[in-house]
Amino acid sequence: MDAVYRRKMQRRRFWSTWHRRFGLIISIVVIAWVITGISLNHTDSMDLARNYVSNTWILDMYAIKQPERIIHYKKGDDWFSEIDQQLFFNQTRLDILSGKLKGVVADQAGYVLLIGNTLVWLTQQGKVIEKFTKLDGVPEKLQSIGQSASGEIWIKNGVDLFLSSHEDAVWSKREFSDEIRWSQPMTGPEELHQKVIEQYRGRVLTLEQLLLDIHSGRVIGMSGVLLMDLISVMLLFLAFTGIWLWWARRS
Amino acid sequence: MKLYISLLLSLILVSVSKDTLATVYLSPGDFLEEVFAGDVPKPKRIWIKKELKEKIKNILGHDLAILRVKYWRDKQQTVWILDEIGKEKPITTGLVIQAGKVQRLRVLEFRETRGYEIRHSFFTEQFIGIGIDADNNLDHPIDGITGATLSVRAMKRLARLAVLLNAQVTQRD
Repeated sequence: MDAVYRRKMQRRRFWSTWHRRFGLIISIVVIAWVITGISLNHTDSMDLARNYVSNTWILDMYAIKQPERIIHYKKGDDWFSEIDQQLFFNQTRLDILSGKLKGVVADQAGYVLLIGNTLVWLTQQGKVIEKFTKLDGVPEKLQSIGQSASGEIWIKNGVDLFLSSHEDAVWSKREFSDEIRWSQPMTGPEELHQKVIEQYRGRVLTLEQLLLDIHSGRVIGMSGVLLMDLISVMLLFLAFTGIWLWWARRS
Repeated sequence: MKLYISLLLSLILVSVSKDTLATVYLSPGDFLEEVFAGDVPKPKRIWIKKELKEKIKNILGHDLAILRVKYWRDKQQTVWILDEIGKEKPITTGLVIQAGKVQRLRVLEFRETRGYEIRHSFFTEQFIGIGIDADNNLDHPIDGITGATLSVRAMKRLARLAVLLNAQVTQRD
């Protein structure tokens, strides 16, 4: 009887010891799971998908680098930049716009930008007046935008030249008659360049994605995912040993 | 442990600052072709002036991102192609307004990661026949979709906006 009781107590001590050890080992991860899990459950109210991570260490860990193509155009005192199809007006992001910036010209109200195959009319303060697409009759496959000495705005695709009257949303095919200065990118000041890169990197990783990656372990790659799998199994072990220890103590 | 502490510290250090390819259900051009049965009129435009700007801000909760809005009009209807952000990216929507009421609402391009259920007709058909009251609120309730709350709200805002803009241009024209 004593031997049976001793074996029973030894078994209980063994499982109890491992229950505590596993509990201690996974506690850190469980805390992280709880924090990230609760946060992710309230992603909308916490606006996590609209908040971006700008911490350099985390961005470096994610290997978020600056793209090679950074384009700047200058018109008057204003700078227009494009980095990976994100657009900036004097370092301020133009959220409503995206695409490849192919040129900028000035008009009486402000500026006209050729972005991809869309013409964008901006005020001098960088506020979008209107976007013109093929729905407005903008010619296709546009390559460049330029201006004649008299201020006329011209656009061209590989074949034809068009005189742009964006105020009236009319683009008419014309023969070349005057010297046109086509908008050309230029090297921007280093400060502007760095500022734009900083803003670009700060708009790639959302807080929601970071929390999701911490929650799943992906933040440290595949090994993190496997670690989370292992910890999940350990949690299952805790649940079974917990029930067993409770049951054994009762009986 | 060090990694965990570093991550927690990093979370505190992240600063709040505030794009993906769109899923195109129907291109704006095709939507117009469909509405006008292939005979699409030339677009007209309305400038967003001070008083109208205020009304729009009350509806959207923010300024309209553009200063001149284009629309298409024939004798019976005005057609609007408008963008509004649901959660984080703009949803491009086509709206047809007849006699001050929504005659058709169609999600054309969707860029959000969630809430795409709003494209289905069981949701969009609720808007048919709905107008706005004196406070520019919809004059009939719209049933939401669980898990698509922000996209649903964006559609309600756009319906209100399109009816308001329709009233402006029909008075003016």
